[in-house]
Amino acid sequence: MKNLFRLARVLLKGSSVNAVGSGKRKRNVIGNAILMTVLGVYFIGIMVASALGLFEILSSVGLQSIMVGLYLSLGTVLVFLFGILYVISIFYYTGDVEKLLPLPLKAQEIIGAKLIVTAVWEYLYLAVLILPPLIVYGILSGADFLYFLLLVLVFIFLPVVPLCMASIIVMLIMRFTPLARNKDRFNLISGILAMVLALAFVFGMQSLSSFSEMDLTRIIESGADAVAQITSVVFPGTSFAVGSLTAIQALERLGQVAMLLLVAVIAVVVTLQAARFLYFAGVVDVNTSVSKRKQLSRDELQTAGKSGSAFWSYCLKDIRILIRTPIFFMNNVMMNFLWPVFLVIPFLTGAADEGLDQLIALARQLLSDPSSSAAPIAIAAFFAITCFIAGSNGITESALSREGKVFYILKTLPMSWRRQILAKITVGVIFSLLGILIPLAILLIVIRPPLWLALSLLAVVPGGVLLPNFSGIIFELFWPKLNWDNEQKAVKQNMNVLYGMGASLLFAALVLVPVFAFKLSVTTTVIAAAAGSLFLSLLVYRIIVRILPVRMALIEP
Amino acid sequence: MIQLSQVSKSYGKGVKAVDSIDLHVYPGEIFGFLGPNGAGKTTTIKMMTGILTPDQGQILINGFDIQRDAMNAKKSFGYIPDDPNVFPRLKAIEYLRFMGDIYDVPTEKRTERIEMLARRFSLDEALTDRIQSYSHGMRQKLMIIGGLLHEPALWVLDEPMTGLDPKSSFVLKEMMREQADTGKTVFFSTHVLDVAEKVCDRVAIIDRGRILFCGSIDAMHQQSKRDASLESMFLDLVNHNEMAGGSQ
Repeated sequence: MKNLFRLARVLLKGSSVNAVGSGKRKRNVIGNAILMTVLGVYFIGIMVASALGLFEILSSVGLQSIMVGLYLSLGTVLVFLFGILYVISIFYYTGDVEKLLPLPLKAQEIIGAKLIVTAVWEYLYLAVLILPPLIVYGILSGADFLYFLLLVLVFIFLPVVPLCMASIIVMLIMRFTPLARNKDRFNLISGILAMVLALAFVFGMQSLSSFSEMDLTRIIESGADAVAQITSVVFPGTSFAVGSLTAIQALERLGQVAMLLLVAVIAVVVTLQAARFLYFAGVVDVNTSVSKRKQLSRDELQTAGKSGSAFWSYCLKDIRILIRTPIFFMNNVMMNFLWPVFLVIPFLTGAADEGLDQLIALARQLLSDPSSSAAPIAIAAFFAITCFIAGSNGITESALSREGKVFYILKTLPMSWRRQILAKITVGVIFSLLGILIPLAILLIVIRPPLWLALSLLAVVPGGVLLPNFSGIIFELFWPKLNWDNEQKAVKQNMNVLYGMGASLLFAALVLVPVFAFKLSVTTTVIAAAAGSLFLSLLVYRIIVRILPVRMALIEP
Repeated sequence: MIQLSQVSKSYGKGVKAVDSIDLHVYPGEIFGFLGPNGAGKTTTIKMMTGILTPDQGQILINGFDIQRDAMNAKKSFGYIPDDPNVFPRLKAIEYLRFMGDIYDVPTEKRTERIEMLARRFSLDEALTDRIQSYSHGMRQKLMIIGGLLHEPALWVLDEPMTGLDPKSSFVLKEMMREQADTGKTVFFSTHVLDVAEKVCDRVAIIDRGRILFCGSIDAMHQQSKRDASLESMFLDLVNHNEMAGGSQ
């Protein structure tokens, strides 16, 4: 047991949960803390707002206590689903596994310590998603002190059973099947799955507001009942958690929480025992890539190695690495296409409420007149979206960082820095253009704007895409994050990506603010957005060319 | 081929990794660059290849100044780094195509070179695999193939034998000799003194950033006035330098 807790302490220190830094790392740690706080406040806001709305609706029919079961069941299911992904990643794929296996540690000790690390991650998002609504419920329903005390205990013990179940299932899968044996494939699939879940969550939350009160009460009543029943059967312990917060007698509530504790202890013991038989046998076969061993014929070799332009070959190398590295794919490529979807969701859910057809008809009517104030705003807004998509995918903002230590090898290539940097910007521009295609297509198909407006929208795209990409590379020239041991650090813990996002918002504001403040005409808006951004892009490019030799010479291993 | 004149490089607060070194490497020779860990070997190689900028001095590669005429200088050598973990998510053939395009090697010539080098290093069945599936030694061999694809007049190899199996190590030494015999130059750093003794026409021994000796193995014997192995002469020189506090 001593080893277990010692190991857990070391693992927690090594994980990003406890990311403290000094010197160079401090800037990133502070940046991450700001980002996490903003995201945390945003999600807590959503959860509190949903709880307030739900309480109001349910209390009008005297069903407010359903909320407790609903949120606890939701928490249990989320812990289980995310638990599956976390457990595969933390138990089998983290870099420490190879270092731990040769040490004289028992499987139970490794798994016990890793279970604690996984639980800390689960607590982090449960604290954001489940705790605020249950506190809101406690305050609004006038709950006693015991409710809040037991809420703390429920919060601590609720995730244990679903997490242990996820651990056992994963250990069985890894021991007896070839599923998830490939690290890259797993990272990619789990990343996409997590994003789909997040998207479904945001969409679901937005949709709640479009139901009428009657519908909502009916859906929640039947839904909550079904969810609570299923989770209670599948995850023993959830019903005790619900009971400890909703039972009338204090003694009964204490009894329920004691049962929850007992079930949690049993779950941990069973998991550690399972680890004895399953963990070591499953962890040794994990790999990152499979060799196919295929000999190429001379013709195949000639085709595969055919000569081409050095510039395009350089772009292709960057594109391949972007697409094939799961972390880069999810953070750069997928986000490039997901941002437009995130931007469209509120419009769609809002429109569903108002009546989509009427809204589209209204938009068409407003946008058909070049002298109306709607047309310049639409052009400026589209320019802003273009800037935001191009600046938030983080592709040029991490272009040097993604190379890591290989960057120094690039210094030996007989290709000028100007061409190398231009190739990197080109890759960013290509993806930005692909990202902007989605909102552009939706706009052109759904709104069917007149030709002058369609051309105006197209006119602002080049500058809107080039400017954030040119400015994004400047951050990299000054603060590339090259000395990383984990690809995540190149994109997720890279402040340049945040700076790029900030710069793109600034460029968007440079056009949006004057359009609103001075009620610019269509012509002036198009000139300001299209020509202005292209002129600025040229200016930034000149700065890049000017500073490039000095900056590159200064970046040394 | 290689000419270093009064080249220095410091890291941090005045710690001189390389201290005013002069070095001339001539066409048609295999030149070994020897020294203990942290002696300044890799720093020198990184300055020669353009990765690091010298604080002072001039480096000419095949007559081109690596600082002022970097593109021509870089085109004229092939560099094999000591760390072969480059672009692990590319397939080997994609990496070689990239190198071929960067060094502007025509399709026919590169096909021929890839075919020949891959066969010699026993990588011909693994060219379509991703580099991340390669062992350390296989990656090292791939780096060698990539660096030599454009048939450079000068090879610069940083610890090339690390991780190579005996057969590949033999092939590389054989290729180095073939290269030198055609009038081209091989410059390599190594810790393996046996290799240096058997392969090199001349060696330089560097310690604490300064060249302690530069010449043939025979000249070293004459200087040490005894018929000892390169290893014992090397240890004598380094130990003597250590006792003198590196201020030779």
